[in-house]
Amino acid sequence: MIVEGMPRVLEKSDQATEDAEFLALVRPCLTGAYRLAGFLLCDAGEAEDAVQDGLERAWNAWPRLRDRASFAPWFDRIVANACKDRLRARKSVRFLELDDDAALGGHDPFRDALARDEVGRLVARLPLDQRLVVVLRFWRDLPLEAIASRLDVPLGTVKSRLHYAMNTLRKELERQNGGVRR
Amino acid sequence: MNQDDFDMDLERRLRSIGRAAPEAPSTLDDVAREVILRGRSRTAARFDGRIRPHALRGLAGLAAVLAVVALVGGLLRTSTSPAAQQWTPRPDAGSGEWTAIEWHDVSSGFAGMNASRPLWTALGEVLPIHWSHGYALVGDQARWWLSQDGLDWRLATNIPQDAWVASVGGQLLVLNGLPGTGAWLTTDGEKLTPVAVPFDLGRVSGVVSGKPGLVVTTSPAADPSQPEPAGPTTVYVTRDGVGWIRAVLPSDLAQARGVSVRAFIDGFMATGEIEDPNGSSERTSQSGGGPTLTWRYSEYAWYSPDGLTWSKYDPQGYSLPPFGWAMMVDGRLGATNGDIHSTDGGQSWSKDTNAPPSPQSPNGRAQMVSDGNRILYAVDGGGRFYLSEGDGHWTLLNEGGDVGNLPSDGEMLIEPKGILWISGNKVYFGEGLSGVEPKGSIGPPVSPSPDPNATPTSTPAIEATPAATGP
Repeated sequence: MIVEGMPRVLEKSDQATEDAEFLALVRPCLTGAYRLAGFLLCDAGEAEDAVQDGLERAWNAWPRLRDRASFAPWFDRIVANACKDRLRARKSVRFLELDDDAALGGHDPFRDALARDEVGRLVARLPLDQRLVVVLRFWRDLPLEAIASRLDVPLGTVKSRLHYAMNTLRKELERQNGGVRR
Repeated sequence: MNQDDFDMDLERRLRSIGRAAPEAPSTLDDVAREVILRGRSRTAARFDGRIRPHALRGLAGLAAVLAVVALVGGLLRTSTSPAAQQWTPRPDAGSGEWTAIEWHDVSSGFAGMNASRPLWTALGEVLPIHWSHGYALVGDQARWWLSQDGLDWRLATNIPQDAWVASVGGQLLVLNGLPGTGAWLTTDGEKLTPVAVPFDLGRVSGVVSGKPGLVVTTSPAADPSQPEPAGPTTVYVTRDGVGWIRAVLPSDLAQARGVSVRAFIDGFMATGEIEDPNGSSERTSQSGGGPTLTWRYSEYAWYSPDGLTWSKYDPQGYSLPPFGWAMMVDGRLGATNGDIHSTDGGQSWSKDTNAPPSPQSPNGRAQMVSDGNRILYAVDGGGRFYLSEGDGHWTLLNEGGDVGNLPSDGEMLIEPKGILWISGNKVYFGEGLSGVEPKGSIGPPVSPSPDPNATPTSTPAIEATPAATGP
């Protein structure tokens, strides 16, 4: 029986092999996960912490991952959820810092990347779920099906979130630029 | 610029931003290795050994929301508010154990709550906040909300943001260790009466309501430069929020670090870590370029029927890691993962006779909830619901209703008269029927309507196949 979040007893297997396999799978995922966390949290330090959270969670849940071929999306999902935990713990999303000129002078690579283009500033203001889809779609180059798999939501939900996100970006840019011809 | 050009330019600019993203720092590779070396653990300890109480409190708060929303469902039957009138209970639902469920849309009753937000999935135990004056829940930004009838919610303006809140003796106990520190009791959620507490409010690490009363745990501040978690922990017990007793803990529990207490069956379960040079788990820490420090430990579980007397928990029949037992707060019948059960208050455990099957469809995330009286297990995204009374036997429930289909991404909650199935801002109530055929029919689960505010699930599916180490 598979039940989310429920404990399970596992017999100890070959620990060394298990460790090596985990490391071999997780290492190629670290940069992608770090970028995902960075663009969600807009803070490189917090992104590092979130990936660390994800590593701990993944390692704890690793014996229960049945399909190890799906490690990468599984790990992305864990890191995304770690980011959500952190955002909730902040009590309020801090992305408005991007509008603060003083903050833009900082050296955080994610804030800098987002702040260099008005589009990035707008993305940072999107609701988290929409921002997550935008990050995975455009900054991880994932097809929509893969995003749905990573987020464990139906494809239609991914399309909907992306649609809302792009509409928001488009409208805001139109407003700022004086509109486009239809 | 026309629309197509505009969209292409937008996409180009988006991708350009992504290309500026940095590589992962090399320290993360070190962390990966350290995480493995340290071994698996239950706690939220940091790589450098720090504990993150805020994060834990946030999870507990979210869990409290889950439980309270479940309780709300029970009130839908009796409330006279317009929202509740959207659904009328069947007069012939039967009084025995459920054999069927009949689904109805009760979303209007939750409209003011924005159910999709508090139902954001998170790991954490269920902590129902129910007291004589109604219900309490924590919402966005860790603000507390109150309701007398479970339907009309209002912001609890006098309860500090991010405070610990728990029920005791029919009242709410509010503990705030943040700026504006204090402890209060309230019978209506509006007027807070200060009360004295014998512990440092800034050191509270857990507040748990259980059948015997309320338990508060406190821990000293952790030393970020050391790998071991903060400790030892002290435990205080109250039955009215006014009189407090400090529990005299057995020496092993008294020396344990990172103690976490949860309600468990009719009492409390504590888990903690004890330094053990031969232990299978370890924490490491390195700060300021200094040497790597290692703290090796073993984890244990203790049970208390009253919060005051504690002993090692060593049940017969099955074995779980200590944290595994602690996670069973959900199922006071003993439901852990649907494969084992206890009928003697947790003294012994046996394998279920006909555990439900695993999900059959890719979207069929399994969920299991318990209210202490029954356990519900949903598979295939709400395609099938199984019921157990905790005796190890499971029954597939018949389904009917007037909603057509359930959304496959629903979150399941249990309440006394039925099941809540929540997807985005849609809330469905499956009324439990006993010996009665449900009216209508319900089709297979369908993908939910697009909801830009919906959130994905928070944890990966976990294979829950226990390995018996007992007879």
